[in-house]
Amino acid sequence: MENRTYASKYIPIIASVSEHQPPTWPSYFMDINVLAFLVPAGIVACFLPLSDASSFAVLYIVTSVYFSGVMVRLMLVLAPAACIMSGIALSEAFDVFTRSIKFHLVGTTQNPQDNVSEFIMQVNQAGDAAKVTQNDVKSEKSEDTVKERSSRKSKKKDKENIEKPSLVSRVEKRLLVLPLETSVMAVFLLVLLGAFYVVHCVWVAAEAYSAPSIVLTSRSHDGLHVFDDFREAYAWLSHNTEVDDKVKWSDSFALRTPTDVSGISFIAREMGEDYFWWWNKLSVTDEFDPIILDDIDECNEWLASGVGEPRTYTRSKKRKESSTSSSSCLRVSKKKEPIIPRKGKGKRKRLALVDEESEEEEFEDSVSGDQEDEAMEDEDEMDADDSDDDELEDYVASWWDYGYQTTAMANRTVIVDNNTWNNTHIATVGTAMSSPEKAAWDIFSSLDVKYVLVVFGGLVGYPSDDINKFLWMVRIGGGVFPHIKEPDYLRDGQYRIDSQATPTMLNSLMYKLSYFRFVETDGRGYDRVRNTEIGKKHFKLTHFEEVFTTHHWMVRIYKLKSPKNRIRGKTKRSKSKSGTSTSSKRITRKRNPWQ
Amino acid sequence: MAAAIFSLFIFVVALLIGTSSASSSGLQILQAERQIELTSHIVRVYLTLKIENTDDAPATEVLLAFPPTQFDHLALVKAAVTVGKKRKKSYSPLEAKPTEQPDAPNGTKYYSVSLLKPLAKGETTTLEILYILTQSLEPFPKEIAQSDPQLVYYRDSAIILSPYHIAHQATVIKTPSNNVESFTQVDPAHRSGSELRYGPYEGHGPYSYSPIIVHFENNHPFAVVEELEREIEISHWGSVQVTERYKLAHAGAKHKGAFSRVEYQSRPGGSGVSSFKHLLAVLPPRVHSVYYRDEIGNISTSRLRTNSKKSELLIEPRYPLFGGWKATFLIGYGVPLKDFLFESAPGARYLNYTFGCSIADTVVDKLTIKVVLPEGSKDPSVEVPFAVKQSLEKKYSYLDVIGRTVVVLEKRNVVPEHHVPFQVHYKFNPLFMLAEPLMLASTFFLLFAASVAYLHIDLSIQKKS
Repeated sequence: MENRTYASKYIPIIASVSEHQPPTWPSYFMDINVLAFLVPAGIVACFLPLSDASSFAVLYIVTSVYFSGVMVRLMLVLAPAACIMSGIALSEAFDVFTRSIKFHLVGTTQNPQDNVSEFIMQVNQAGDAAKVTQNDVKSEKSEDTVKERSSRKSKKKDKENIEKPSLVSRVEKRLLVLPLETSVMAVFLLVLLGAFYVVHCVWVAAEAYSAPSIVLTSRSHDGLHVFDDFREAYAWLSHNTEVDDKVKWSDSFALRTPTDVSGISFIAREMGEDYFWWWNKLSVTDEFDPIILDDIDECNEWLASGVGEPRTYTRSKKRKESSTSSSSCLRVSKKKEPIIPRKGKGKRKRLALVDEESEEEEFEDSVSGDQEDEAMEDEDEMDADDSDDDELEDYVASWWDYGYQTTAMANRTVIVDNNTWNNTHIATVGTAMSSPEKAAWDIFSSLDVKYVLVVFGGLVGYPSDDINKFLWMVRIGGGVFPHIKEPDYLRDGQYRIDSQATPTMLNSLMYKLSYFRFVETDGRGYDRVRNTEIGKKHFKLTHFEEVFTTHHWMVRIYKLKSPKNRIRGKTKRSKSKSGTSTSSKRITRKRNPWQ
Repeated sequence: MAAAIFSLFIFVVALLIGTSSASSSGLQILQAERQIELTSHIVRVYLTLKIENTDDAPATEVLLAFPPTQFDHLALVKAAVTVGKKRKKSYSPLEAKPTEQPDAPNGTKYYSVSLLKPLAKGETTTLEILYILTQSLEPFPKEIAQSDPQLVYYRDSAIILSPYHIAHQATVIKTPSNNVESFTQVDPAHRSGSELRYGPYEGHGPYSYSPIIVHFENNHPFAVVEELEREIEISHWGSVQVTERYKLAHAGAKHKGAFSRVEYQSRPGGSGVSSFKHLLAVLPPRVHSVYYRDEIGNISTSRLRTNSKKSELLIEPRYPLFGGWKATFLIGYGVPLKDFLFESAPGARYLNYTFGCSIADTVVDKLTIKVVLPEGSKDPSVEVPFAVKQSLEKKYSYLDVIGRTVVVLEKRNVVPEHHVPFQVHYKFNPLFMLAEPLMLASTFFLLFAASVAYLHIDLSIQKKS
């Protein structure tokens, strides 16, 4: 409890979601607006006098305010409490003002003294209606103070508790008679306030919370401009990638509401806030089987150990282990989360990925003779598997933010999505994005990924793109795979993509996929989000191929090139020759035909 | 023109005097001219035949022969006979239908054209024939990169395939541009610009065949609708609702390798010349509530222009289509009932709507038209000017009890020339229009009546004091 912001500060996967950041004052005002001022009044009203019900309301608001201070998304918890408190405040206020008005209006006809007594009579009648006498109230009240906790014994009692204090307060408030003009004015102002609040709510609901975040619009002097790039890319993916064409024609027009899909909205950007990034990190949809927490841990452990093991650790062993140690639940999750390689194919590559110094180590590993043979066998096995691979699905890799969208709109299976609970899993994709091309290709092909999707806003100035999220990918990746180090991507602690950027940054897959041939658009590669010219302008991709880019360049899809020109024997020899120094290795790697 | 006709006439007269070789069927073609248009992905062949009967028995029909490969891709055969001479020349359409012949060599297929009046011995007549071939341009190379032009093969015969003796013939092939890679030489053959001329050839016997291949550039967008389902729903309350489900593909040379947006955007003429991004749909006038969407929602790139004669909907698929790429989408609109529904006799009505695909210049591989008649209509019958597969279905919509009769028409290989009116006749009693409102009203009436009754009934055993 002392360190309530620990998760949102130090666990990158939680910290990366801007909804998990503490809210700012403007966001409070945006979301609850006038309620922010009415809530304190409501709290005061709850103390006049304090009953079981009102103390519950006070506790409710206090705890929800506390939790909403931890992360923005818990504003959802605050909202009902704030509504209740504001309702109490407004009710009390109207009570006082209308009573004063009534008092004055009746008072004009009769003399004030009678009036007061009549008024008291009225109040008493109201009290009689509740069939509670003044004495009862007092005794009950003293009882309340003694045993506050046991007051929930029966509903009837509860009901009485509400009625009784109100009676008392009314009797007390007999003295609170305000001047007529003031009360009329106040009532008018309160109604106006309420009306304004309704207008505000409608506006917020329309602009901030209902705007379809995949169809972006921008208003310029020459009218409304629509950026429909996301759906363009998803439609392209669903129709023009040859994999897994499960959707039949008749089904394809069935109304499919992408309720899961939400995200950025331009309004957030206009407010100077970017906190609606990605909303649904923690929500569980019913289509996913519930996963027992232990199983996830087990799965993680298994992954970590399996990945770190020496090469002789065979697949069948792994499979046996996993199937014995995990429940059926885990198997379900395995099916959905394809980090577990289903063929011998992926194994070596993953080893390469987790070994301390990435790919160089991979070559060193396979120096010794018998291991080489095994690798050879592995490869043969892989070739044999190729025929089987045809019936496997090919996956689309992107940052998890776009997982649901790709699943729902492009009808393609993704590697990670908004409901991926497995940190290692997300970290693998983050690592791939942060790695140089070759290493990334290895990771992706070990995951059976065929297409990589990146979101790029540099051409039209769309700020929530992958380059802006990239540091989180580095952090999340680095949290699990320590060879990815955040400082490598920062120049003097600054995140930059211009000519001052670090070589690691400029060679990372994310940079390359985002800015591939970008310089040809305007001749100098000016990024409109970062407001700078990009650092590395002319480069080629060797392992990836641009297969689609949307009209405004907001979504770019790349395909993994197949390693068809691989000369097996040659690679082996060069590997075995390259012995000790990394420099010689580099040279040999340059001669690698599919480099 | 007149000079040419005159010289032809002289030539024909000369032929008549000279060789009068009697072919087996008794007919012979004096003069044949063929023009093959390869400018789009739909191949249109215009054939002019001057036929003479040399036999004693009068001829009632003329046979057109097609090689089996062409026959499968035939979308339409139209024939007409010229009536009158020169200025007063007019065309009257003739019936052409596929037939079988017992002694067809090499699987040759036939269409027979029935003449208006039998051709007596020595008489001549001139037939104008149009036939349309789809999927007859084969892209070669089969896969092209983004910046390559699209080259295609067209295969045919230099000599017109015919069961009759052809005395004199010539073929003109029109290509879309001057870029002709190669063509088979069958002397005399020469090319000038975008025109290839084979012939004239003299005196070829029946079933002469001389295969040719033309390899040329054709960057026309090969827009093919693989499947189109049009649902025409009639509501007697005043509207005809049409929903068209498209499954569109670019049937040209497959796109190979990378797609570079920067190239596509910076060099619109040089990059992706065979791709297309616009399509024009011609809709009836007075359309209302037009929508254009696909399975993930509204597609924001479309424009509708309406005038009193037609409505034009310019649609843009979500992405430009390159060879082999596909897209699915849906166009829907409503049109006023009085424009399309007419009363033929008391109680009998017919719908007059256009067959074919709304999108201009496309081939539809499989077209399904579903006419949803209002509930309670009887005896549906269809009048279509060409052969279609017909069947009946039932459809249940809101508040339907007995279901709506759906007339299903299916046709393969539909080209823009099929865009002609067809009629669906049915009998309908207007009382059925009241069925649904009455049903609703009675339900609510019963509900309220029941509640009134419930409130007034005293079910208690003892009397209230």
